[in-house]
Amino acid sequence: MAGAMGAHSPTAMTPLAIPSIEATPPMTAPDAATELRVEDVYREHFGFVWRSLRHLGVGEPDVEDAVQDVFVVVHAKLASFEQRAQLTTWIYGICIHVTQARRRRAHVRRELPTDPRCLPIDASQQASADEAYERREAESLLDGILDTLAIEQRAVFTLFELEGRSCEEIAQLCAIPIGTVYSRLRLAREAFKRASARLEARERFAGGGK
Amino acid sequence: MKEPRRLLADSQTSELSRSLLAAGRARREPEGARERVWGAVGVALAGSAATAAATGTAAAAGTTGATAGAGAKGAGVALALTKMKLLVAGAVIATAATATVVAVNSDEPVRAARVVSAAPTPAPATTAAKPQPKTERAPEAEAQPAVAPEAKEPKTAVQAVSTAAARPSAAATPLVVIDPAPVEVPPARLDISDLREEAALLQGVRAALGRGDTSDARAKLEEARRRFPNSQLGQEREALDVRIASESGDRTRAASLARAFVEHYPDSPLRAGVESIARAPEKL
Repeated sequence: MAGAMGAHSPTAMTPLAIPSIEATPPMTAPDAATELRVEDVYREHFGFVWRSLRHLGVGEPDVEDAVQDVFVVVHAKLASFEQRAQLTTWIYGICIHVTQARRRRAHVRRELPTDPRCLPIDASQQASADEAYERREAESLLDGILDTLAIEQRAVFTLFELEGRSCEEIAQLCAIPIGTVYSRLRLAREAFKRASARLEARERFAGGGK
Repeated sequence: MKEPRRLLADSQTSELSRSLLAAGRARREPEGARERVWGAVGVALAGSAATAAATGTAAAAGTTGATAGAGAKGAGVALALTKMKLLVAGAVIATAATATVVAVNSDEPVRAARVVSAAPTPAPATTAAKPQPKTERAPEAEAQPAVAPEAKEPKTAVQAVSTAAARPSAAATPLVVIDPAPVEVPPARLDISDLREEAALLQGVRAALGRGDTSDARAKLEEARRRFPNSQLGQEREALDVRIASESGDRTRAASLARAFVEHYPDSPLRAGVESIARAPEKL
């Protein structure tokens, strides 16, 4: 699988154009932004932050911790944030930074991606344990493929394919030109398809899968 | 350029690819995560006040111009303390009586704070804080770090804590060194806000519902309502009330509560869930 997924050459990547926490939010006088409250931002964006962190590669055991990190940063910088229209962009930028920071230190402690199949099953969310296991297995395979993508491609791919965002929205969320969105999406999809095909071939070879 | 078709909507996409993408699309936070994390954020933010008081003593002593306030640093330190408890199970906390707390530029949001446990070397004299009245807060002045932040790449509070946890005796260049004496709230027992307790109570409600014990769920929810009349998790609490009514079989009450919820919180992200519960006995 590695061969098929080695499509993203670091040298082929354009420089990281992920929105910076420092640069993205327009800054203004503090009194202009007092209407924004962290609890409201939390309520509105919790789900998006949780999913974004998972899609970007934060393992399930660590994702709540990472969400906490994101909102502590949001709280810290919210007073100087003005344009609500770009709030999601800003928050997504924080998600990326938090994800990258956690990846960098993943070797320091246990924080390595955990096979979601090994996690306890939340019975309240699942119709059956079998269904839960199958879903987790699919998630695990998906994460395995996504882990081979550079984070720039991963962000675009997951926003488009999993979050259902338009390319225009993604351009805004990632603060990149729309042409870059298309090219990253194309590369990511090619890598995804190749990896998926290899998985299928492996299943066939193993005798028809599960 | 034309918007590409999504792989899930493309008939050429293989079945396996579809199943993987569908699993990714269906990802949702587990039940109770919203409250759990909010409780943890609340701990961090509530703790910032205590930390602000502590750093305030340093500022008042004229050692540095570092600010505390509600900014990244205070929150970061509190977060760091919270994480310390989680990561090292109190091992670092236990040494906090001699801990050196080092703050970095509060203008750098993710580089919130660094906590170095039990620094073996004496604190630099230029930054040592003297005990001051404990209720004093740091001024809301602009931070002018005495020493430029060392790292060029962003460093999260968690990252810093992780480093500290991994290397308990690590030394760092301090900006503000808080003498243990003026810290009003011992790090091992932060003055945690009601938020955390309320979040725990609501988790108890969910757990009771998970067991099918609607009486216990009701009792816990009433306790939360009584203890936290100015709730910060009001939406979550009221949404649970709808669920309790629904799962108790009291559809009339569930519908009535759902209507009240929508009236109170028309823009709530929980609205759809509440309305679906009122229609059918589903869980949030």
